[in-house]
Amino acid sequence: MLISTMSSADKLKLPEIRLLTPQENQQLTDLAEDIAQKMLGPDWKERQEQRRAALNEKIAKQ
Amino acid sequence: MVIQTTVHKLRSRPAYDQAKRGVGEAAFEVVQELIKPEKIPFAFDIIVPVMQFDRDKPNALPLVYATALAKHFDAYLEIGIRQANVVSHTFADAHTRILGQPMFIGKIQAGSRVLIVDDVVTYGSTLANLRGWLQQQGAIVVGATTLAAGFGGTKLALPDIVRDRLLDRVPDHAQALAKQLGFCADCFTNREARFLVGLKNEHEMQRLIVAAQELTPLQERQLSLEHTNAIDPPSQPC
Repeated sequence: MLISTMSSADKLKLPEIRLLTPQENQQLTDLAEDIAQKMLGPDWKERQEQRRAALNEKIAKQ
Repeated sequence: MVIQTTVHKLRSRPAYDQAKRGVGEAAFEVVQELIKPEKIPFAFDIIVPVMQFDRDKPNALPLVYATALAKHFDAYLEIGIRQANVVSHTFADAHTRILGQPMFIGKIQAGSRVLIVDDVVTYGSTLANLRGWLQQQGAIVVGATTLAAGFGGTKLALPDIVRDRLLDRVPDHAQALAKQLGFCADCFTNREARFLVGLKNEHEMQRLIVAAQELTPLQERQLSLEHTNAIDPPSQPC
């Protein structure tokens, strides 16, 4: 209802918003994995899995 | 909420622009110079960085900061949670920040204690919406940390006095705007609400509502056209 009562000159300029594309989603994954590899070491994925398993166990016990 | 430094100090680092444009090495250089992980007092299991695109590039700063903390605290680094929309808040004005509420995708383990990590907090909408998304899934968000904070950005929660002022001044408009954005008026952040309270008159508020009304169908259309089943349905902001 409000839209029809406001002149276009009076309307705010809409911000540019779009969805993340699958390619950009993949770029985020690649960047995160590259950073983790460099900062946490080459075995970071294995250690992540170990931490996740330990966390699952801890939460299941609670 | 733990802040490591000032926005001025962060943005004056020579590698800052490169770091914001997705260069991991540049982000490492910036983060290494600025952070003291021991400032973080929270006990947590999982670190969740804000993984987002800023215009056309991924922002490497939250990722490097989160990875440095994961290393220091020997914590699990969750890299599966993403901001599903690209809003570009950096240097954005208040209208854009309020209208462009970030939405998130990705799963978190229910019952886990989570620390959220971002590069800068200004209006707090990114941190508040990510917190909402994680808590909807049963995670416990114990705290948040950023490299830097804009003026008034350190207190995210809406104080009663500001909420009362907003709801006294423009009750219907505040509720209508919040509803259009996908939450309730109590869920505005402190700085968002302060901005709304400071608007000159009801007409200014109405302009925001109209813009939000126009944006909602656009976002819904984008969701139906572009959102593939490769990623989960995105969150509501609050």
